[in-house]
Amino acid sequence: MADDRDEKVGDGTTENMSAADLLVQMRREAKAAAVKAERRKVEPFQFGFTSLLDALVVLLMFLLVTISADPLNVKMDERLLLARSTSDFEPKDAIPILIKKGFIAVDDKEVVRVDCKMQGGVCSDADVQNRTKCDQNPKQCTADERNRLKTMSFFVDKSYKEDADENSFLIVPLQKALEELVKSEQEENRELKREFKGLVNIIADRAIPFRLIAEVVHTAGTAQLSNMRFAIIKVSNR
Amino acid sequence: MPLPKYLDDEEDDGSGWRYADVDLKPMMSIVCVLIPMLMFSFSFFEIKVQPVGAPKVGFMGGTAKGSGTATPEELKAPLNLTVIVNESGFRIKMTQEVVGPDSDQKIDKKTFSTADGEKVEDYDYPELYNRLVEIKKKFPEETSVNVGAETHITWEVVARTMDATRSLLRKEKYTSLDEYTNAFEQMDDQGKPKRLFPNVVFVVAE
Repeated sequence: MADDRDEKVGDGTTENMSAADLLVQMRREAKAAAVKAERRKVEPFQFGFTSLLDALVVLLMFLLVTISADPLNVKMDERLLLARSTSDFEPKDAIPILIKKGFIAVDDKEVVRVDCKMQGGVCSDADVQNRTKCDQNPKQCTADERNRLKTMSFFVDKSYKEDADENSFLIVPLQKALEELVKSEQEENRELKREFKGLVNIIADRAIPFRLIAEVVHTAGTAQLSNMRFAIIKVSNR
Repeated sequence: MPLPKYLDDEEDDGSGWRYADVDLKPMMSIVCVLIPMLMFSFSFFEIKVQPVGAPKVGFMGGTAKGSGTATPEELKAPLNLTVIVNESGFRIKMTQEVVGPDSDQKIDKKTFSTADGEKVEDYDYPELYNRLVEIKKKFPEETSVNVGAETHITWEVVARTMDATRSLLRKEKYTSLDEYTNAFEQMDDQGKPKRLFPNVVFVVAE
């Protein structure tokens, strides 16, 4: 009997329903209407800035800490593509020498121009950009293009060298710039009672020939910087 | 007295204190400008360094000179292990009195097949590593290697050569370039990589 009544209530038909059943039905309908009305009353949508701001502040802090903790702060572009290596030595604060396709800079100041020649002529900006593109992703270039760009050679003009001698390893403007920095670092170390370690970070493009690297290293050596560290991109496969 | 406009939304809690929501929009604007600025100057690569000793100019002639600060120990090194990179491949040189007839070895460039089936001529880094492992077995106390190259050899090739000299890998011998490039370093009990010839000194042949 009770089951029979429940079925009727469940069907929603008011015929043959008892007063109690009707009351239950009416209560259910009233509750549903109240919920609908409550939903309609919800305030218009407002964008919550607070949680987004929290996330952005965390991101900002992460970027600030990471950038200030990086002693090299290398920014690669079409004239600077670092060599890849599996080396796991951490960089340290040191005097930075930047060797790009186009110039050598000490402490972000350009000191010597680096010239480029290719197949007897001077390289164009497009050639330099293509070389970087091909070095970064060889599949983007044809074999002929790669071979042509491999003939590209970077060098420092003899006018910048000791006695304007082409065979000299000493780049004079670079030596002067380094000596100034070494002098100020030595004075600073003396005041702070720290030992001068002669550390230098060399940030060289991967296409720079060994001759130019050796010239820079030799020049740094003459300026009492003999502890050299070459910046590389850490990769897992050698 | 009527409240100024900016205090219109304030609520009085009944104790005289007035509370208002902080307007976050100007701060959001600053943060939104700062983040792209920092991301632009952020390096997404892991930058490490390769330590190198100063060059010994004229090494091939037998006497070290120049700006290098090679220690007396380095100069007296009985082995004088030197790897020279040239256009045709590698050349490994050692002191003849110490090593004997194998004091001058050549490793020519080799044609390797890439994963895509393409044939590529490259320096035989696996063979260089194999030979250096053999030398290390004979001279386990030796830690220095002189690395030099012909003038036009690019820094990338020299850096890869230094990679081959630095660490001991899981296997003592590699034949394929793929297997060598993906090989992991051997670790000691403290989880540090086992070294082969970690003290690299540049050498410039005059």
